[in-house]
Amino acid sequence: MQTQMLKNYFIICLCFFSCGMKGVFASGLEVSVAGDMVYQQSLSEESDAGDKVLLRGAELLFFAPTDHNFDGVISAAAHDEGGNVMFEVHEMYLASSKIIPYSNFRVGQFFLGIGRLNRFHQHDWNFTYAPRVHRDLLDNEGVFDSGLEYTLYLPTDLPLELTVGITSGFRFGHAHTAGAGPLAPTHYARMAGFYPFSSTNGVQLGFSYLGRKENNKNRMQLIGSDLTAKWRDGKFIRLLLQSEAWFRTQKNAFGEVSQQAGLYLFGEYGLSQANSIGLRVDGFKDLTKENSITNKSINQIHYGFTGQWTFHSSEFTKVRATVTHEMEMEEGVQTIDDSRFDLQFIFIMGSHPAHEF
Amino acid sequence: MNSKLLVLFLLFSGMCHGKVRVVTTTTDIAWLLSELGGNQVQVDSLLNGSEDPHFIDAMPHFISKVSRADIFCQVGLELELGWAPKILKKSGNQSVQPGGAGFCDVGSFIEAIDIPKGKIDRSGGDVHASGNPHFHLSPSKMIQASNGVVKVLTKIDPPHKSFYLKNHVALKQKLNQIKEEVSSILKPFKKKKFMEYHKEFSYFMKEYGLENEGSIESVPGVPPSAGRIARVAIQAGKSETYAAFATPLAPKGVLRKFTESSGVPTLLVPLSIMSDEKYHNYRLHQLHIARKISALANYAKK
Repeated sequence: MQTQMLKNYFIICLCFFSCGMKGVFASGLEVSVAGDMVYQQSLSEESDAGDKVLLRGAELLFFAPTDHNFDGVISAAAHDEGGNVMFEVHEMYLASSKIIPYSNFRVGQFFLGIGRLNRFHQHDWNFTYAPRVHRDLLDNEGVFDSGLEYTLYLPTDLPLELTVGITSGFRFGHAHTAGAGPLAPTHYARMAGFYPFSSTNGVQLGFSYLGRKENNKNRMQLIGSDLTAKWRDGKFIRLLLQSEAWFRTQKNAFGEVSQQAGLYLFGEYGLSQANSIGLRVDGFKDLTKENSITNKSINQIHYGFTGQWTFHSSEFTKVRATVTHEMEMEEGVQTIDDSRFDLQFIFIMGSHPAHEF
Repeated sequence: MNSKLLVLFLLFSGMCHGKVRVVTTTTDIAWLLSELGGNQVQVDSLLNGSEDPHFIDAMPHFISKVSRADIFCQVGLELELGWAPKILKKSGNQSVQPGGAGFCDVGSFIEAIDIPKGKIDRSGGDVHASGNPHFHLSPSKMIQASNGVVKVLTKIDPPHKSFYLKNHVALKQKLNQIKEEVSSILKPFKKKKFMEYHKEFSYFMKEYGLENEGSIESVPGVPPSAGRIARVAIQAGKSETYAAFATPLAPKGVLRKFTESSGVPTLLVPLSIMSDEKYHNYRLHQLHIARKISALANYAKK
């Protein structure tokens, strides 16, 4: 059903092009196409790198004002999932910043406005793969759902923004099923403050909360913080520091509680307009993992180290080489040892919406 | 009691909102607005003149400033394409959105140069399809710009229309005087050949009759290769280019190699008025560039 819908969607896209671009642009419609390819090479026996080129994502993004009040955004992406290419609508929403002063809102399907990575499309991330904490708590690419999101920019000298949202909660994270109606829909909020060091440098700190209750009475709560600091030197970012920390607690119908916590710290240093090097350290811990026989809690932790070099041919074409080592320890014994090399190619054709800080 | 407090609050709010709040992207446009608006406007520039206006992030404190603006003025001609639309969209301020009464696209009021012909795509680098956006270095173009900006001001604040129109006449005189003053300094350099690292000084050269031998970059926005530097250095040497303009943000290594290979000195001058420097207004900035050229001649004589 969804595949059929997407086929129709692409036919519509082709019609737009065949109608002549002048006509399309006269309506303000802008089109962006992003490609994301990764060559994976395993460096250890336990690595799940496939030693092949993965066409990780092709994303089509359309955006334009729909009238004097609203803007429309539609994005669809094709992903490689275990060798099968899956098409799905990522975002389809109507937004406005012209109706309520100091505010904007969107209604439809979108990536939830929490944390840092979840607010950006994967091809705009500063590294190839999501850190473990994001993969486990917010999925590989991020959480999107359909609902309503409202952001208020408090008119203060020190910029503060408050985002609140409520979405259907039928599913959470990556899924190709319709899901089931929840007892409490997904509801979330993010409060962020920004401190400028100068007109081009500054630091943003955000705090997020998300909650939901599934129809089988499983209840989930997520709290997190995100920090982004940038120092720009002319045409390029000289130093970027980015971090997120998340804590999840889940309680099932029998009152059993499971808790996980994790964080990542990422730093990237711009050597020139064309080259940057980066390092990411990940940590993740299942706080309630128990030995199934003794029912005693297991001393368990996951570490990850990622070193990368990025060649920025321009804002629209990047090549990134990454070496990653991830390991998991349980009771002092290494249970996972995944070392890999990845070479990522990202390119964007057509218009691309301006980027946030 | 409460209603009296409310009345007082509303009165106070009204008094606070006496001036037209203008937010501009660059300091040069901020100067233009300050001259036109005088004491009836409160002008705030998002940038301070030290940045490269092509490469800026949509900083959250910019959004906060724009959310409270009555007028938003940008250079336009796609200069701020990478960041200003995001700021406007997130500001939640309807009147300053494109098409709104408070939106002021200054570039649309001037006749731009360097409008590319033929097929335009990214293989040509950071191409501005509507023309070169660095028009502020030409007083004549600033006069053209002021003709449009004054209309935006009078539309937003009609009670002070005559005040703005009077300032507009004075501003045009001032810009013509600046042009004359700088022209007299640069008279000995008319018809001399100059280059520029990026096409940021084309309007300045055109305004004052300096011959433009082209740019060191081959692809706008991309640092030139070693081969390009060598070729352009040979060209500069052969044509007896007098100097090459560049801003302090241009790659120093490239400029050093160019000067070593060609013998042509580079003139490092800020692209914009800088609020915290000696050249904090338009006249001083123009004179600063002219005197730099003049000083180079004195140095050569020694």
